[in-house]
Amino acid sequence: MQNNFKKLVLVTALIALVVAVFPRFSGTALASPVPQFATVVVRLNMITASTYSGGTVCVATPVSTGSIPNFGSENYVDVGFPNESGIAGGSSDFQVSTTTANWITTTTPPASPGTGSQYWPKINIGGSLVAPSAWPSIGATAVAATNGAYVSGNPRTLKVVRFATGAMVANKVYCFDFADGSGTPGAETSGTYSLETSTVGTNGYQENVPGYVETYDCASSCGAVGAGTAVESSNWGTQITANNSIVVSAVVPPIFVMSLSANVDSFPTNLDPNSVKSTTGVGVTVETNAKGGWFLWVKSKNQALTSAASGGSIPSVGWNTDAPTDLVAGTPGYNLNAATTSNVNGVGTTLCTAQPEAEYNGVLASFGGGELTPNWELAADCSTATPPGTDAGTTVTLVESAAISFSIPAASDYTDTIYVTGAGQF
Amino acid sequence: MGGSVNWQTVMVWLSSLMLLATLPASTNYKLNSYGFGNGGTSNSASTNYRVNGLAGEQAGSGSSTNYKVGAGENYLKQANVPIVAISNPSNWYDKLQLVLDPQNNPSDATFLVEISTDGFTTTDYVQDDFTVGTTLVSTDYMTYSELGGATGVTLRGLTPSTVYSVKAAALRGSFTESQFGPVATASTVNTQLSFAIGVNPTYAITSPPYQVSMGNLLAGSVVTASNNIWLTLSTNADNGVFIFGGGQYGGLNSASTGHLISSTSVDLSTQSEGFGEQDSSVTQTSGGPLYAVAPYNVSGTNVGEDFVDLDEVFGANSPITTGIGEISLLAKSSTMTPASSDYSETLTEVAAGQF
Repeated sequence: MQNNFKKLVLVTALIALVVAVFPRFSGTALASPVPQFATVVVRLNMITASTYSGGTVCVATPVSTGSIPNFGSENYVDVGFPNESGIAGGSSDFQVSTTTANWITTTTPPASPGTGSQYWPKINIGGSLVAPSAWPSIGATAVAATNGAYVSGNPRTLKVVRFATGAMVANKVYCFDFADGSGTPGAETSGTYSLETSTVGTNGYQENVPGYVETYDCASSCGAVGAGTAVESSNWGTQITANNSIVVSAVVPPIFVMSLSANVDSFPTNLDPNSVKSTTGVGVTVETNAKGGWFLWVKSKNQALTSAASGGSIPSVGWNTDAPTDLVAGTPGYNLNAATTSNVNGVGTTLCTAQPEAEYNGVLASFGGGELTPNWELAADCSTATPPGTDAGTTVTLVESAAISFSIPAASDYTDTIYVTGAGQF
Repeated sequence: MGGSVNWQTVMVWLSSLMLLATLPASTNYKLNSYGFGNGGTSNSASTNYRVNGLAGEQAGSGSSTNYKVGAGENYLKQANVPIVAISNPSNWYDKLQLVLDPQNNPSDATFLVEISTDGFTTTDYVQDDFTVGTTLVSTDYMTYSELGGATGVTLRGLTPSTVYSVKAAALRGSFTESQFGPVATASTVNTQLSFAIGVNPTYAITSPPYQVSMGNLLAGSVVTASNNIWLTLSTNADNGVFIFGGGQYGGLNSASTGHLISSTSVDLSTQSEGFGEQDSSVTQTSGGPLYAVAPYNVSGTNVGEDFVDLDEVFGANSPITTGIGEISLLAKSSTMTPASSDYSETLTEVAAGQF
């Protein structure tokens, strides 16, 4: 009994001794600040005032987390957005949709950025750049969301959204995106939005309290923001601007290039009542960046092969709607055949398809062709119903054919002048 | 005495226990106790003893708002009262700089720094990792060297926009802790990020709408817009900042022709057509530095891709003041690029601090 009492006295005395030597080991204390992440990045996709916006949340966990209580046991993460008092009224602050289903998350970065893209940035942890990983088991939608107005003196924002999360590992960068219920950026409505940015102040968005990202270990009753034991927490801030979009404009000027391979197209042999003859042809090459392609017209000076010396004339065939007219040996006649070869320059990805008009699209072996008229007549075109229909180079080969009879006076000066013009469908 | 406690024996025993390890002695003398207690008062008495005279030396007790009188050997053996300074030299939102003046205490003296956000109605402690702890532990007593010497240490993990008060006491050996020194205060600021856009041939912050005209894209020529995009930012984020950029179409799009002059990271001189961006220059007033990020850190006729989704275009790994990033836009068309006057792209620029 006496020994026990002595021991009690001894222990009490030792405690007293410790308190005497270290008198500060007693007293009241503030709640300890929650350990910070190595880095927190919250990127809003739009920082334009009063705009619906999705965003990205990234955290970097410290290299060493052994001293962080409950690290590795996280199961909720709260994302708080900055709170401000009355830049122009409470509704001018950030608006956090309390419809949790609108807070749709994804951990798959967009496929469109290719190699080298840093849609999710690498973040420096302890001197080393760490590539981001998908946030572990982030909830598909939010668990809870609040949209409280700023309360003077309250150090925490009341605009907070909570997601379920998986446990974290040291020295990692985790990211997730949040979108809205519309599923399509820019298509958000007042019913589908998740976050609406604030209005802009005279000097940008001036926060009374910053945003924050805070993970929690929560075993039960976790359906409210802030429930559970905070594990890590870091603040963040942003700026809202009047506009963060830059419109770039450019003009691609119209280009239409047309050239003829020759300006003389002679019959290589004499005209013969016993056979139809054709010229070697002239190539008309067209290139254009007109979105709808091009047209090529022809007209004839004489509408016939005429001879000033003899007064003879070999008349053009007449108009044959939607069909060529074949020449027959022994029957005087004169026509124009058009044939097209597209994409001769072999470049371009938005090409139209060139074609001769039906009246001129005869079989050359049959000496088929169309009328040579005094007016501009469409001989070929490169058109498309759905733009664009540029042409990297089409050659329209124009060949004249003629047949004579014995009634055609002999002469060596039979001639006609064919005019060619074209236009782009800009 | 039977089963009763012999209190004199207990006190002697405790005194011996407390002093055995450190009591000095020599051939000619021995110090039996350092203790003077709080002094005695003549004629004080208890059940077991009575003091007829003054025992020990009374400690001084006079004090006012501005001074405190100390007297007696106990007081003389106390460590010197240290002075602590605290400041926010760089617009910190979660850190403050603490510098201890040891006031000639020996190098093996340790110091305790108390910290409070409510004028010490409640008290926390600076821990040896320089965060704030609610519970005092022995490792909170740190030497001058451990507290960073003349440079001091950076307290971290603090709350933004908060006034912090600190005071320090010194301890050397047993029974020698000093009084706390004067209270010093400093404030953290809020998290800060400013970001502005300018569109101009030379540096300027301009007002929206922001428009960059590429002019006529003559076929086969790499055209550089005369107006550049100037992104200006400052932040106190501990780890710096990212600037992201992205486009609506991933190139110059013509609604009327349905054609997209698509963007890719490439030398435009080798392409028939294309569009892209260059980080032309980076500067800052202080901090940072701001740096250009691949694939935009190119020159000449090389460009980085205008991604549909946001992509990092500039970055800084430290707080930065007036960082300026310049973006040039380049484009090229071919003879086959459908002609149109409505080619456009809407670029979005976003800054995000690494807090």
